[in-house]
Amino acid sequence: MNDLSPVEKNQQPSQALHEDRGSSEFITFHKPGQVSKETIGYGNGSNVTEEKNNNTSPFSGSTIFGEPKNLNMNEMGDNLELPTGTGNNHYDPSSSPSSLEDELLFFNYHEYSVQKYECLETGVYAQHSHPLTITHFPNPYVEFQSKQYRSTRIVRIPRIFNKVIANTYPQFSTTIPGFEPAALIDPKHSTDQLTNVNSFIPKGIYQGQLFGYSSVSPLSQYLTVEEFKEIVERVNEFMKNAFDPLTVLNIINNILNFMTIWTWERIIRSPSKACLDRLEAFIEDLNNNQLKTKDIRIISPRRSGYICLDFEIPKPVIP
Amino acid sequence: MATTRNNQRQYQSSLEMKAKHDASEIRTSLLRRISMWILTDPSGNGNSKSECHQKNSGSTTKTKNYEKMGVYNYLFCFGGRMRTTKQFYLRPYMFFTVFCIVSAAVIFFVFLSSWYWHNISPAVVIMFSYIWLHCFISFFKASFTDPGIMPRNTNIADEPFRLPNEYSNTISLPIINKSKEKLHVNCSVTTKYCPTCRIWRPPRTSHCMLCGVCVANLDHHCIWLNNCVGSRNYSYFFSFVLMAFLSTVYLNVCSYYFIFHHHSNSTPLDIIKKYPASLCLLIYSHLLMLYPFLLLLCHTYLNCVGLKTKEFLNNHVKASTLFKTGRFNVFNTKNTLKNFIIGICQPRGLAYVRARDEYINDRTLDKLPPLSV
Repeated sequence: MNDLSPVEKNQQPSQALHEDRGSSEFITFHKPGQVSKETIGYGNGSNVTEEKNNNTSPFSGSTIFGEPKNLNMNEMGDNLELPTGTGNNHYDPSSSPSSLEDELLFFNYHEYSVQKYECLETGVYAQHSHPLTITHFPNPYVEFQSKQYRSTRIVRIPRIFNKVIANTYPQFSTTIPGFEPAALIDPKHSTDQLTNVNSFIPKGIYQGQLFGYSSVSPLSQYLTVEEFKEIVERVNEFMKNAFDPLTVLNIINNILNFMTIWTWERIIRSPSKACLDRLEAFIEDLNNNQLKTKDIRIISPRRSGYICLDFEIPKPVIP
Repeated sequence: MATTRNNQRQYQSSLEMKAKHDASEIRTSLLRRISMWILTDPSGNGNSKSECHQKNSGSTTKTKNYEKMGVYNYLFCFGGRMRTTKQFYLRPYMFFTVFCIVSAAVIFFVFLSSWYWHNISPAVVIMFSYIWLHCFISFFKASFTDPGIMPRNTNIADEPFRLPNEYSNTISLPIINKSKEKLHVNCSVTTKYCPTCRIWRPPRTSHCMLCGVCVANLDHHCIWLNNCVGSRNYSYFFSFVLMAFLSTVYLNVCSYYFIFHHHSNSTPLDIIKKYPASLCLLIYSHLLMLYPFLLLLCHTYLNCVGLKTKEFLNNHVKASTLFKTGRFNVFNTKNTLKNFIIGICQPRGLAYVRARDEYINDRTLDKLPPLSV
């Protein structure tokens, strides 16, 4: 391990992770250096088999989880630069207290990796050693095979669960894809061109679409980290107001509804519905003003059942 | 020559046939539309995609979502206002529920109401009417409204016939950690990809085999309602159970009072001899009370510990210290009142798939080809 260059060191665990994400039944992402695989049986909780693999190199952290701050500095050596120094100032350490050893990290579970694709540099369609990360998806909100379907793609922002007690209302990830704590990072570009870490770099063609090695999606070409965060935080606020059951307004509304044998909700638009109406108006306003100039739009989360926040982007093309 | 004449004849006859067909269609269209409005089986009409494409582009009449919801096992009534799971004739328990609710009212209004109205107070009858009506309307709402069904195909991948390997994983994601407990795999939420609906199911969302849908916060599929009980109709369901219990208790008390305090100078035995129906009523109301009572106890308990029926029955999640097996329940806030409010006061919000909205020709209601393994 020690005579490998930093780049090679970084590549190896990254590939291992790609395989891990694909093969195991039950996947959890922990702090750097700990990737555990588990197979949880159905039925009762007694037949839980575990095989933990804690022997991965410390560099797995730098490439897989994108969190160089928590690396063991002694093992890394002084002459080695932090590979992803610039790309990770997004990470908020307060959201995951570092005092806990065995900690799960969040990643965008919508993305997946493929190894059989057409390489952009060589033009060869084959099984490649470095997998592509699929970060944008077909558009299900328009007519199938229509012009709009062919010219647009969807970047999905997943729901997060570490902001809400008991998962009572939906919240979406406020980090732009590619910057989550456990996002995949392109090892070559993280060391060679530090400035390119934040951008989407197409590396191969899969199913007629361009994809890169890292988790960074083409959405980064249209929105900055701050703009994205601002939009999603606004949406999250609407979600909280609409779906939080532990508000006085909601409880009073429910009691009134119950006492009047459900006629109250017929007479007056419930606060939850009114809030969601405001959200629809907000998204329409955003699409018509701020995002129209950037050629992207947000799909109302209602259309996906509030399971993800979808950004419609133009189909990525080779620059 | 002969062949061309033959062809011409065939063409003419086909034209005539078409004209006849059109005329009959116009005649039946109104009748058909009314019958379609009353009862719609979405899988029957517009099943093929090409047909629905033509319809949408050619005709000016607006298609509603419920007419295209053939992927779900639902029947729609009254223009999509009511829904019920298909093939209820295989599980006709819903009619039994209706019979029980209606019979309780019939018994009260035939045997007891006039006596109570004139001898005790009209308030007794009015109170029963309120409780019974509440029970019936809650049943109606729980049974025929949207339980919170998820739109389909929103998380599709590029390859239509094969699922990416990653999508067959169960994924653990971090949760809020307030209790300072050591986080481990059991203290996380899991999401799973539904290969039928092609969505990443959020925690607690489950696929119902009978309805063919993923339902948000699925509690259980209730055969007595012939509908799923999910996030959007749980409050109706709970109030139905509560009010069913209260109305049967009310019936019990009324029949006891009738027998023991009918006349001050006659014994209960005399009254039973005089009104044999009163004894039957007593027994019947006791029988009616039994099931709602048990169900109410069960659901009150489950709400207090922050559980869903499905989780409790599958033994996936540890209910409390009482039950040692199962996983740690991450949805338990450790506060009984909070758990209870979260359980029964879920804001309904807007329906994710509105049956009566205008149909947009997107892929969220499409039936995709099955996946090859």
